[in-house]
Amino acid sequence: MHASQQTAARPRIMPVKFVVSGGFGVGKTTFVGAISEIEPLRTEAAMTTVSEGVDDLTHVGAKTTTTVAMDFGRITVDETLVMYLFGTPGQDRFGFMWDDICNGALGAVVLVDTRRIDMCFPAIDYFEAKQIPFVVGVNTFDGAPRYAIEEVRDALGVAGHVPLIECDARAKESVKLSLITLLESLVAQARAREGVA
Amino acid sequence: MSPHDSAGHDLVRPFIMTAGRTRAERRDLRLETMLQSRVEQPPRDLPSEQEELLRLCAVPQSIAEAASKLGLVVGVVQVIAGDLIARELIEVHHTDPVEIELDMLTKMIERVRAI
Repeated sequence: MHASQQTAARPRIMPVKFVVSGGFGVGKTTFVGAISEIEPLRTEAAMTTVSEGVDDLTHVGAKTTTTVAMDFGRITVDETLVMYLFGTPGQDRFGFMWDDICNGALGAVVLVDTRRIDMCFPAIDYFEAKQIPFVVGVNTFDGAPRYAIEEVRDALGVAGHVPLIECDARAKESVKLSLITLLESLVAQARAREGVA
Repeated sequence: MSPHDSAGHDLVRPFIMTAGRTRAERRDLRLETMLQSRVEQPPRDLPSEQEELLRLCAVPQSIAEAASKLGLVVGVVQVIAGDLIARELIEVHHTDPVEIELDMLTKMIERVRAI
């Protein structure tokens, strides 16, 4: 060991980001909380935006700074590999933040509430446009209509290679399965690229 | 705790802390980008907010985690981190999705299964 101020170069750590998305109130924070090893943390991004008159609830005049809360969790794989899960803000008016959240994401889980299927369309459109691999988790709320998975696929219009599964964001095993399904689809894509399928 | 804390976000304070800069020095500082201190002890001349972040990052953690723990918005942490990077006091860890290899995916699957 040398006696310089700086310690020797540390082993590289690889943070890997996943995004949990879907409409407002669909269970994104619950999903993250179900498998995060830490209590889901909340961080805030202050965004300067041009007021477009969408902030009808807060009549504070020409508000130009919006603070958006993001919930996220962490799963440490080992000392060199860490998974982070970020929820996207639910309301459409925070759509301008998506690039900040999703840039560099390895994959995404889109949660669908069968009572409000259209609310996940912006998320699906976004990940398709950005070519971020995703799975669709059909959230099974109590009292929500239950459709066959293929019916939901038709309603969403997602491609056949996009995995669709039932997902109860409150149930740890169900959330684990969603994430594993996403990871396995990434494995399949990687194998296909390498031609070893 | 400043007297402003109880009143919610004080937008003046972050502005001073970042000396009016609103862009991070490094554009690759994403939410999940991890920061790790490179020194045992912060230099004595460090501004307090840099020292605070540097001490926190003795344990490697993401920009988002640091922001949450310090009660700062992400953009402010990015700027403070940029200053520490410029002084080579902090190491940056990030990953491009194309760098993720099969064995890493396998490790992640095993880890999630074990939760």
